Amino acid sequence: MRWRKVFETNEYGKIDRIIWYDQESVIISGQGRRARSLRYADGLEVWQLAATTTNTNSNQDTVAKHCQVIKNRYDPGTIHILSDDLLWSVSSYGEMLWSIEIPIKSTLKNLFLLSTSQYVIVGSLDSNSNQLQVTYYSKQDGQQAFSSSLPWSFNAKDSLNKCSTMNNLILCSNNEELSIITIPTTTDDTNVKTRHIKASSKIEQIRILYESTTRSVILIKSDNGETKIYQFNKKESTSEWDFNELNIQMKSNSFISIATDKNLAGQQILEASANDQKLNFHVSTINEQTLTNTRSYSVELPENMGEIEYLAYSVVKNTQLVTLRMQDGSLLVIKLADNGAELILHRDEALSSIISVETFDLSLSITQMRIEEEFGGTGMFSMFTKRISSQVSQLISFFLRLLDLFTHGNRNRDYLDKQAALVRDEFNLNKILIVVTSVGKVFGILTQSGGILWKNFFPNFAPFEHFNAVHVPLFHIRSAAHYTHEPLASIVYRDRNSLHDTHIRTFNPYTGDLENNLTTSSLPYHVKRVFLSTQAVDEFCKVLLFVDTNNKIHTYPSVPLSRALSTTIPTYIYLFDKSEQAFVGYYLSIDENDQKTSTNLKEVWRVSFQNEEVINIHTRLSSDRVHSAGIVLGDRSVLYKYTNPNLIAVVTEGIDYQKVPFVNIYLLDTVTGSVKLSHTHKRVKSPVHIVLSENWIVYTYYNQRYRRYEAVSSSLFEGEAQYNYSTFSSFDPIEPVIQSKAYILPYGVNAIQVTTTEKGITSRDIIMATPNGMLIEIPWILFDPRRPLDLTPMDREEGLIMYTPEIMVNFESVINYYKYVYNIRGIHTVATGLESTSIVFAYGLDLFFTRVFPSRIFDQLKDDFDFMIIGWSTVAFVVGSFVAKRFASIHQTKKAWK
Amino acid sequence: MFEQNKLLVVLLVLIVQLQLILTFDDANSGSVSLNFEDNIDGKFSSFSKLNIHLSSQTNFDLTPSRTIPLSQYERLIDFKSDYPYYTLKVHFKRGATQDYVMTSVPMCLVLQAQFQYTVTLFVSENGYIVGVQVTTGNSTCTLSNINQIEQKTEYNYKATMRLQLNDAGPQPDTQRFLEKLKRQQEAKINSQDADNRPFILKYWKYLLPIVVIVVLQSAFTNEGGAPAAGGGGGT
Repeated sequence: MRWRKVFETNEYGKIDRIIWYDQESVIISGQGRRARSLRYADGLEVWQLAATTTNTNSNQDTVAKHCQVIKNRYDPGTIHILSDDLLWSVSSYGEMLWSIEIPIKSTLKNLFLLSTSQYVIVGSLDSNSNQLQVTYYSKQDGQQAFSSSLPWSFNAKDSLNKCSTMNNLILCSNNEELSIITIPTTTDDTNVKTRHIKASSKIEQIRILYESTTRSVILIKSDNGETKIYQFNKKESTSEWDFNELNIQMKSNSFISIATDKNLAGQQILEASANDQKLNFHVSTINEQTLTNTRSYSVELPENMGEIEYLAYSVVKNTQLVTLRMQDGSLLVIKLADNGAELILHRDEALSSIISVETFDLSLSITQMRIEEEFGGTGMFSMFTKRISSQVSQLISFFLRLLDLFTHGNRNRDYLDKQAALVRDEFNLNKILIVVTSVGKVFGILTQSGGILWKNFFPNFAPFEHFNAVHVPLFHIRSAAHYTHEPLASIVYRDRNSLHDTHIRTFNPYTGDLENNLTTSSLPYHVKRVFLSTQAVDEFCKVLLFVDTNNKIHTYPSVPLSRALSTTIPTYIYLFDKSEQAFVGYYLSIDENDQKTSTNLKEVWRVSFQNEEVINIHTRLSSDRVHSAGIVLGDRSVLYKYTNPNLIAVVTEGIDYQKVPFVNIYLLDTVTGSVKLSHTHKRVKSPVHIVLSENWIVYTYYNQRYRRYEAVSSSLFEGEAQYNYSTFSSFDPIEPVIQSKAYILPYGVNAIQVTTTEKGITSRDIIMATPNGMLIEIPWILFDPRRPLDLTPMDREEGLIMYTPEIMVNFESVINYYKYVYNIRGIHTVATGLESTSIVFAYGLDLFFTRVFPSRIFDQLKDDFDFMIIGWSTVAFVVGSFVAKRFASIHQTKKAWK
Repeated sequence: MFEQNKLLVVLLVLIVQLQLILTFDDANSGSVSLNFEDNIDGKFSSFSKLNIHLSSQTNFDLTPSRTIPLSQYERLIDFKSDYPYYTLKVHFKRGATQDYVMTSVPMCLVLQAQFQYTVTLFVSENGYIVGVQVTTGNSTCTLSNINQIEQKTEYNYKATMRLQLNDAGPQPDTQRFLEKLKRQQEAKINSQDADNRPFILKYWKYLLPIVVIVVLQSAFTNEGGAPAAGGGGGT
């Protein structure tokens, strides 16, 4: 990759249209409010223009916003942009030619933008009189020249969805009919002509394949799969067009692209279709009404990539290149040559749309497994035989390895290295990441190298919606701890075509192979929520539990609920009802002897939010460990933590009676439905990022009043005495004491997470992804709500730091150094076999993986540890002690002779 | 005439004030009517009703409208016959909005406490009830504990209610921090200014060792000149 340019994350970064020129391209973004030019050679942004707009409240109704961008065909260096009520023109050199505001009303919407050699034409729909007002603006200075109107039968929404513009034509599909409306281009000629093309079935799509001042080609696709291509030719010295159908036979799933080149005799048309793992191309030259010179190519793809989503065909210096975007997000570039088609580039762009991540431990090596087996027996005799047999097999494998070394040498080295990468290391530092992307491609990535081990594409994939984001539940069905069985992971997703159907796919995380017994595409109920059972059922496998729309709970695969869930510890489930903005808690009563595989839930609590909208729910990580129950204070007394494992954090947004916007943060107990913490922040904007761990919560938001990002940290304590030292119950009458402090953050926040370690002994660090591409590791101590303003000797004894309102970020704590990663959406942290080490995986547009040591490396030797010195000094001491012993004995003897 | 005018003005002012109070009352504090229901009959039935004004008082005692006869109490002890959770449902009505919140605790906790418990209502920023909590003072209970409780012919609810309002979230404490910095700076300046003691008093700590060394040295040169020279010869 030569260069890359990351645009803004807000609406200004959303690209509306790209207009290609020879050396650079003009990119219109932000609903037609920004224009910029990028040079192909080095990615340099040559110029940028922002629309001059006086209309400030246009931000509020972003729903109705739409924009049209056209390149003037008669003057290719000029681009006209229509963005709601703003019409402006820019030249390809970065000069703003003119900009005017066209008043709009709720009944008057600007819909179409056309251009001629003299005028820029805006078609606006007046829904009161059902007329299309056509206004002509001078191309030179934007002055309104004249206007006319014509009857219009479509409403605003249909006009946007079903119509396209081309030169001075508006093409609209109306069921089985395509209307071609010719807009007059000069003042003398005011005739609006409408002609029709009949199709055999309802028209689904109109696509403009090629457009120039004299010729155009369009494609009409009907819903019965029939595709027709029409060629338009401009009549001499009029503004009217002739059209004729091109005689071409096409498959229903094929895509069409047209390339024009000066060197080519005519235009070339490319038809592409995907068929399993094969792409077929047909290239022809367009003659008057027929296609000649058809050549066919086909290329074998390395994997299943689904259907074609985008196709572009170009001829660059006599090289025919086809660029495709596939359904699985792959970017392909294929070169067509006389000797066949060749895949020259394949990039998995799906990796920039990761939505779920899970980590699996790698499998044990054969020797590690043998050790596990050797000490696995119980009886004396069985232990003895196991020991003998394993040692014999170790001996045999040693000889075999020696034999292999002598006979084959290093020939198998690559294979062996690859195998070694899949085996768990001594400290369990290397893992395998399973990532699910929003397009339905699942990857297995080795953390050691970042290499993709396997990938699977599920074509009919649609993720679940979770507030403003999408997510896919991904579960450890069987963990890697059971070395005799392969581990299993499951994903649950919806069907792309019928959103009520739920699919379950279970696969081996090492190979990506589907486990067909645990894979289904039809559940007989509509799923509301899915979670994992607490007990393993058959062969160490956990089962999935589904709550359906009737609040009934089911297991998949079907097993009695009494086996899937603990019968001694009661199970509570909460569901969120979006229409009522209420959380409802359910209790699941399971009888030990009950063989039912599904049961109804009983409602036990309810929390409702009036006049505020829940915008996010955050739960703690399942791997969260609490090592110490309290904090030792300076006077040697203990402050006990309130570590309620049943807490969830809820973020709500609303407007209070003084019309001030606020954000509320609640900590809800999901067993009793009680509120343990509620904070109101006025004049504050979401997104709110939350970390919930142990007995504390840290959340960040944007303060509109001071225009800065802030973080609030709160800790919950039981107090000086602990209610129950052995177990925690939500019914304990504990009133947690809350301590809170707010801090100013030096940067914005894209995502936030806390480090995880195996036992939770290591202190915690907060990993924060910032919009400028940094991943910052901040010790939680800096967020500690107990940081005092005036430091007493007692506080110093405890190790507290004095309160400063701003969190200072040292550049040393940027864990990605200068490898900046942008648009991070989530951070995943996992524990390793070493207590000091936590793994961090940040994903978004870029991926970043590293290890962090929140309390420094206390359980391993440094990389530069001098083994030689230690070794030699030990040897020297041993030798020295023998020599000294000898001398001592001689000395003793001599002394005795005296 | 003048009197009448004055009266009119006073009346107008009064009306305006009343209007203000009414609108403020409606929007801000407002009264909330509460209806408490529980499930000890097997279905939800009301046992207390209450009208409260927000922002005036936070602790209330519930006045029960019914009691629990012994027969019902004994039926409740037999857990197997019934769903073993005591569920409290609080309906609330504020203006046009009406909804309910709910919570549950194990039935035996309530029986053990003889229907004496605390209800905590969580009130949101806009004055609506968000959630409810019941605490009895215990988290575990045993059947034997309940059986030991003296038998009465009927049991009374002894419930107290507490309102918990939303806390304002903390703000970065820049004001106090700056004040502290200022104080520190002032203290520093003051300490520099105040130190106008004589030179000897100020630096006696540094001067004293020098004096001692000088004195000692002079004492040694007077008495031990020879041993020092001998030492020099040794090296």
